[in-house]
Amino acid sequence: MQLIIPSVLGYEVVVRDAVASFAQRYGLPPDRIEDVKTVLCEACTNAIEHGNGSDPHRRVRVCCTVDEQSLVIAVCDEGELPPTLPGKPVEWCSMPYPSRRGLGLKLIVALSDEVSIAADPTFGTCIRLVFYRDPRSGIHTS
Amino acid sequence: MSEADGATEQIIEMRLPSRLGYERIAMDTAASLARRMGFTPERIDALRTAIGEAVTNAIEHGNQADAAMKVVVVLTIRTDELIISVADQGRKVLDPAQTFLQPRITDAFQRADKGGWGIWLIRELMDEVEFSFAPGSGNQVRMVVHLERPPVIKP
Repeated sequence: MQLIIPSVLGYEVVVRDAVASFAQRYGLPPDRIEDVKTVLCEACTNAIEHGNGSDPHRRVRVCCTVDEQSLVIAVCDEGELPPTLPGKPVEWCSMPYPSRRGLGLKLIVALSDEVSIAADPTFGTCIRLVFYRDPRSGIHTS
Repeated sequence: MSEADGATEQIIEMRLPSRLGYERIAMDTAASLARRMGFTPERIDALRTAIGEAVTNAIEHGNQADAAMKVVVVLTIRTDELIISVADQGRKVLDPAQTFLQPRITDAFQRADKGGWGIWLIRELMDEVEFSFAPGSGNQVRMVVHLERPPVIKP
Protein backbone atom coordinates (compact mmCIF):
# COMPACT_ATOMS: atom_id res chain seq x y z
CA MET A 1 0.00 0.00 0.00
CA GLN A 2 1.28 3.44 -0.91
CA LEU A 3 0.10 6.88 0.18
CA ILE A 4 1.23 10.17 -1.29
CA ILE A 5 0.50 13.47 0.46
CA PRO A 6 1.41 17.11 -0.18
CA SER A 7 3.91 18.72 2.21
CA VAL A 8 1.27 20.47 4.26
CA LEU A 9 1.11 19.99 8.02
CA GLY A 10 -2.11 18.24 8.99
CA TYR A 11 -1.95 15.51 6.37
CA GLU A 12 0.39 13.48 8.58
CA VAL A 13 -2.71 12.81 10.70
CA VAL A 14 -4.53 11.28 7.72
CA VAL A 15 -1.49 9.08 7.01
CA ARG A 16 -1.39 8.11 10.68
CA ASP A 17 -5.03 6.98 10.57
CA ALA A 18 -4.53 5.10 7.28
CA VAL A 19 -1.50 3.20 8.58
CA ALA A 20 -3.16 2.57 11.96
CA SER A 21 -6.05 0.93 10.08
CA PHE A 22 -3.54 -1.12 8.10
CA ALA A 23 -1.61 -2.15 11.24
CA GLN A 24 -4.82 -3.13 13.02
CA ARG A 25 -5.84 -5.42 10.17
CA TYR A 26 -2.35 -6.86 10.10
CA GLY A 27 -2.87 -7.89 13.73
CA LEU A 28 -0.42 -5.66 15.56
CA PRO A 29 -1.30 -5.36 19.27
CA PRO A 30 -3.11 -2.10 20.25
CA ASP A 31 -0.20 -0.72 22.27
CA ARG A 32 2.15 -1.23 19.35
CA ILE A 33 -0.33 0.51 17.06
CA GLU A 34 -0.03 3.55 19.34
CA ASP A 35 3.74 3.41 18.84
CA VAL A 36 3.32 3.14 15.07
CA LYS A 37 1.07 6.21 15.12
CA THR A 38 3.54 8.28 17.15
CA VAL A 39 6.52 7.23 15.04
CA LEU A 40 4.67 7.85 11.79
CA CYS A 41 3.56 11.34 12.81
CA GLU A 42 7.14 12.24 13.73
CA ALA A 43 8.54 10.79 10.51
CA CYS A 44 5.93 12.52 8.32
CA THR A 45 6.33 15.85 10.13
CA ASN A 46 10.10 15.65 9.60
CA ALA A 47 9.59 14.83 5.91
CA ILE A 48 7.11 17.70 5.44
CA GLU A 49 9.00 20.36 7.38
CA HIS A 50 12.66 19.46 7.04
CA GLY A 51 12.93 17.21 3.99
CA ASN A 52 10.52 19.14 1.79
CA GLY A 53 10.75 22.53 3.50
CA SER A 54 6.92 22.70 3.74
CA ASP A 55 6.70 23.21 -0.04
CA PRO A 56 3.14 21.99 -0.85
CA HIS A 57 4.23 20.95 -4.35
CA ARG A 58 6.70 18.46 -2.95
CA ARG A 59 5.29 15.08 -2.02
CA VAL A 60 5.78 12.72 0.87
CA ARG A 61 5.43 9.04 -0.01
CA VAL A 62 4.55 6.43 2.59
CA CYS A 63 4.86 2.81 1.59
CA CYS A 64 3.63 -0.04 3.83
CA THR A 65 4.47 -3.69 3.35
CA VAL A 66 3.97 -6.71 5.57
CA ASP A 67 5.27 -10.23 5.84
CA GLU A 68 4.85 -12.94 8.46
CA GLN A 69 7.23 -11.26 10.91
CA SER A 70 6.92 -7.55 10.51
CA LEU A 71 5.27 -4.38 9.28
CA VAL A 72 7.65 -2.17 7.30
CA ILE A 73 6.86 1.49 6.67
CA ALA A 74 9.01 3.67 4.42
CA VAL A 75 8.54 7.44 4.59
CA CYS A 76 10.24 9.26 1.71
CA ASP A 77 10.58 12.97 1.04
CA GLU A 78 12.10 14.90 -1.84
CA GLY A 79 14.91 16.38 0.25
CA GLU A 80 18.56 15.55 -0.02
CA LEU A 81 20.23 15.40 3.34
CA PRO A 82 19.48 12.34 5.44
CA PRO A 83 19.58 13.23 9.13
CA THR A 84 21.84 11.27 11.47
CA LEU A 85 19.99 8.84 13.67
CA PRO A 86 20.64 8.77 17.38
CA GLY A 87 22.01 5.49 18.74
CA LYS A 88 19.95 2.88 20.52
CA PRO A 89 19.26 2.75 23.44
CA VAL A 90 18.26 6.38 23.26
CA GLU A 91 19.76 8.58 25.91
CA TRP A 92 17.09 10.91 27.15
CA CYS A 93 18.42 14.06 28.75
CA SER A 94 16.72 17.27 29.67
CA MET A 95 17.65 19.85 27.11
CA PRO A 96 17.70 23.59 27.56
CA TYR A 97 14.99 25.45 25.68
CA PRO A 98 16.94 26.54 22.57
CA SER A 99 18.03 22.99 21.61
CA ARG A 100 14.90 20.93 21.71
CA ARG A 101 15.58 19.71 18.19
CA GLY A 102 16.10 16.06 17.47
CA LEU A 103 13.47 14.83 19.91
CA GLY A 104 11.38 13.41 17.06
CA LEU A 105 14.20 11.19 15.81
CA LYS A 106 14.83 9.97 19.35
CA LEU A 107 11.17 9.00 19.67
CA ILE A 108 11.31 7.23 16.31
CA VAL A 109 14.38 5.21 17.32
CA ALA A 110 13.04 4.43 20.79
CA LEU A 111 9.64 3.17 19.61
CA SER A 112 10.51 1.27 16.40
CA ASP A 113 12.05 -2.20 16.37
CA GLU A 114 14.40 -1.23 13.52
CA VAL A 115 15.12 2.11 11.87
CA SER A 116 17.35 3.06 8.98
CA ILE A 117 17.74 6.16 6.83
CA ALA A 118 19.01 6.27 3.28
CA ALA A 119 19.22 8.77 0.44
CA ASP A 120 17.07 7.25 -2.28
CA PRO A 121 18.07 8.41 -5.77
CA THR A 122 14.49 8.52 -7.05
CA PHE A 123 12.59 9.75 -4.01
CA GLY A 124 15.04 11.65 -1.82
CA THR A 125 15.46 10.79 1.83
CA CYS A 126 13.77 7.58 2.95
CA ILE A 127 13.35 6.50 6.55
CA ARG A 128 12.51 2.82 6.94
CA LEU A 129 10.63 1.80 10.08
CA VAL A 130 10.15 -1.82 11.12
CA PHE A 131 7.66 -3.11 13.70
CA TYR A 132 7.71 -6.81 14.65
CA ARG A 133 4.34 -8.51 14.74
CA ASP A 134 5.29 -10.34 17.93
CA PRO A 135 7.91 -8.37 19.83
CA ARG A 136 8.60 -11.38 22.09
CA SER A 137 9.81 -13.37 19.13
CA GLY A 138 12.57 -10.81 19.50
CA ILE A 139 15.52 -10.53 17.25
CA HIS A 140 14.98 -12.08 13.89
CA THR A 141 17.52 -11.83 11.14
CA SER A 142 16.45 -11.72 7.56
CA MET B 1 -0.59 23.14 -11.55
CA SER B 2 -0.26 26.89 -10.99
CA GLU B 3 0.49 28.48 -7.65
CA ALA B 4 -3.12 29.64 -7.40
CA ASP B 5 -4.43 26.12 -7.96
CA GLY B 6 -2.01 24.74 -5.41
CA ALA B 7 -3.47 27.02 -2.79
CA THR B 8 -7.07 25.90 -3.32
CA GLU B 9 -6.67 22.20 -4.09
CA GLN B 10 -4.61 19.47 -2.48
CA ILE B 11 -4.30 15.85 -3.45
CA ILE B 12 -3.79 12.62 -1.53
CA GLU B 13 -3.15 9.49 -3.55
CA MET B 14 -3.51 5.90 -2.33
CA ARG B 15 -2.34 2.85 -4.24
CA LEU B 16 -3.81 -0.40 -2.99
CA PRO B 17 -3.23 -4.00 -4.04
CA SER B 18 -6.36 -5.74 -5.38
CA ARG B 19 -7.02 -7.82 -2.29
CA LEU B 20 -10.28 -7.67 -0.33
CA GLY B 21 -9.74 -5.98 2.99
CA TYR B 22 -7.89 -2.99 1.55
CA GLU B 23 -11.23 -1.29 0.89
CA ARG B 24 -11.43 -0.90 4.68
CA ILE B 25 -8.20 1.08 4.72
CA ALA B 26 -9.49 3.35 1.96
CA MET B 27 -12.70 3.86 3.98
CA ASP B 28 -10.80 4.71 7.18
CA THR B 29 -8.45 7.07 5.36
CA ALA B 30 -11.24 8.96 3.62
CA ALA B 31 -13.21 9.15 6.88
CA SER B 32 -10.18 10.57 8.70
CA LEU B 33 -9.76 13.21 6.01
CA ALA B 34 -13.48 14.06 5.83
CA ARG B 35 -13.65 14.46 9.62
CA ARG B 36 -10.85 17.01 9.48
CA MET B 37 -12.54 18.83 6.60
CA GLY B 38 -15.61 19.33 8.79
CA PHE B 39 -18.11 16.88 7.27
CA THR B 40 -20.97 15.75 9.50
CA PRO B 41 -20.92 12.18 10.89
CA GLU B 42 -23.82 11.19 8.58
CA ARG B 43 -21.96 12.40 5.52
CA ILE B 44 -18.83 10.59 6.66
CA ASP B 45 -20.83 7.34 6.99
CA ALA B 46 -22.22 7.85 3.48
CA LEU B 47 -18.72 8.50 2.19
CA ARG B 48 -17.38 5.36 3.86
CA THR B 49 -20.09 3.23 2.26
CA ALA B 50 -19.62 4.75 -1.21
CA ILE B 51 -15.82 4.37 -1.14
CA GLY B 52 -16.10 0.85 0.22
CA GLU B 53 -18.40 -0.13 -2.66
CA ALA B 54 -16.25 1.60 -5.29
CA VAL B 55 -13.00 0.01 -4.09
CA THR B 56 -14.61 -3.43 -3.67
CA ASN B 57 -15.91 -3.21 -7.26
CA ALA B 58 -12.45 -2.19 -8.49
CA ILE B 59 -10.79 -5.09 -6.63
CA GLU B 60 -13.30 -7.82 -7.46
CA HIS B 61 -14.60 -6.85 -10.89
CA GLY B 62 -12.22 -4.38 -12.54
CA ASN B 63 -9.01 -6.09 -11.44
CA GLN B 64 -10.51 -9.59 -11.00
CA ALA B 65 -8.91 -9.81 -7.52
CA ASP B 66 -5.41 -10.07 -8.99
CA ALA B 67 -3.35 -8.72 -6.06
CA ALA B 68 -0.62 -7.51 -8.41
CA MET B 69 -3.04 -5.06 -10.02
CA LYS B 70 -3.46 -1.70 -8.35
CA VAL B 71 -6.48 0.26 -7.29
CA VAL B 72 -5.72 3.98 -7.23
CA VAL B 73 -7.78 6.21 -4.96
CA VAL B 74 -7.26 9.94 -5.44
CA LEU B 75 -8.71 12.30 -2.85
CA THR B 76 -8.87 15.90 -4.03
CA ILE B 77 -9.42 18.35 -1.21
CA ARG B 78 -11.04 21.69 -2.03
CA THR B 79 -12.35 24.32 0.36
CA ASP B 80 -15.98 23.43 -0.40
CA GLU B 81 -15.87 19.81 -1.57
CA LEU B 82 -14.08 16.49 -1.54
CA ILE B 83 -13.60 14.61 -4.81
CA ILE B 84 -12.87 10.90 -4.66
CA SER B 85 -11.73 9.06 -7.72
CA VAL B 86 -11.34 5.28 -7.70
CA ALA B 87 -9.62 3.67 -10.69
CA ASP B 88 -8.75 0.09 -11.50
CA GLN B 89 -6.63 -1.38 -14.28
CA GLY B 90 -9.59 -2.70 -16.22
CA ARG B 91 -8.97 -6.39 -16.60
CA LYS B 92 -12.73 -6.50 -16.93
CA VAL B 93 -14.40 -3.45 -18.44
CA LEU B 94 -17.59 -2.31 -16.76
CA ASP B 95 -20.64 -2.26 -19.04
CA PRO B 96 -21.86 1.37 -19.06
CA ALA B 97 -25.47 0.13 -19.01
CA GLN B 98 -24.77 -1.43 -15.61
CA THR B 99 -24.10 1.96 -14.09
CA PHE B 100 -27.72 3.00 -14.61
CA LEU B 101 -29.44 -0.14 -13.35
CA GLN B 102 -32.09 0.28 -10.70
CA PRO B 103 -31.98 -2.89 -8.59
CA ARG B 104 -35.23 -4.06 -7.07
CA ILE B 105 -35.50 -5.46 -3.58
CA THR B 106 -38.11 -8.05 -4.70
CA ASP B 107 -35.64 -9.46 -7.23
CA ALA B 108 -32.92 -9.55 -4.59
CA PHE B 109 -35.10 -11.78 -2.37
CA GLN B 110 -35.14 -14.39 -5.14
CA ARG B 111 -31.38 -14.44 -5.62
CA ALA B 112 -28.86 -16.22 -3.45
CA ASP B 113 -26.29 -13.54 -4.32
CA LYS B 114 -27.27 -10.34 -2.53
CA GLY B 115 -24.79 -8.21 -4.45
CA GLY B 116 -25.51 -5.75 -7.19
CA TRP B 117 -26.36 -2.72 -5.05
CA GLY B 118 -22.98 -1.02 -5.08
CA ILE B 119 -23.36 1.38 -7.99
CA TRP B 120 -26.93 2.24 -7.00
CA LEU B 121 -25.74 2.97 -3.45
CA ILE B 122 -22.92 5.17 -4.70
CA ARG B 123 -25.37 7.18 -6.82
CA GLU B 124 -27.77 7.53 -3.88
CA LEU B 125 -25.13 8.63 -1.39
CA MET B 126 -22.85 11.00 -3.28
CA ASP B 127 -23.68 14.47 -4.62
CA GLU B 128 -22.11 13.89 -8.04
CA VAL B 129 -21.15 10.57 -9.62
CA GLU B 130 -19.51 9.94 -12.95
CA PHE B 131 -18.29 6.66 -14.43
CA SER B 132 -15.74 6.49 -17.18
CA PHE B 133 -14.27 3.59 -19.13
CA ALA B 134 -11.21 4.40 -21.12
CA PRO B 135 -9.92 1.44 -23.14
CA GLY B 136 -6.54 0.39 -21.84
CA SER B 137 -6.68 2.56 -18.75
CA GLY B 138 -9.37 0.88 -16.72
CA ASN B 139 -12.63 1.83 -15.10
CA GLN B 140 -12.95 4.97 -13.07
CA VAL B 141 -15.60 6.38 -10.80
CA ARG B 142 -15.46 10.00 -9.73
CA MET B 143 -17.55 10.95 -6.73
CA VAL B 144 -18.05 14.41 -5.26
CA VAL B 145 -19.37 15.36 -1.83
CA HIS B 146 -20.11 19.00 -1.08
CA LEU B 147 -19.12 20.44 2.23
CA GLU B 148 -22.20 22.04 3.69
CA ARG B 149 -21.34 24.30 6.54
CA PRO B 150 -24.03 25.31 9.01
CA PRO B 151 -25.45 28.74 8.20
CA VAL B 152 -23.82 31.54 10.10
CA ILE B 153 -26.26 33.39 12.32
CA LYS B 154 -25.73 37.08 12.02
CA PRO B 155 -26.48 39.28 15.01
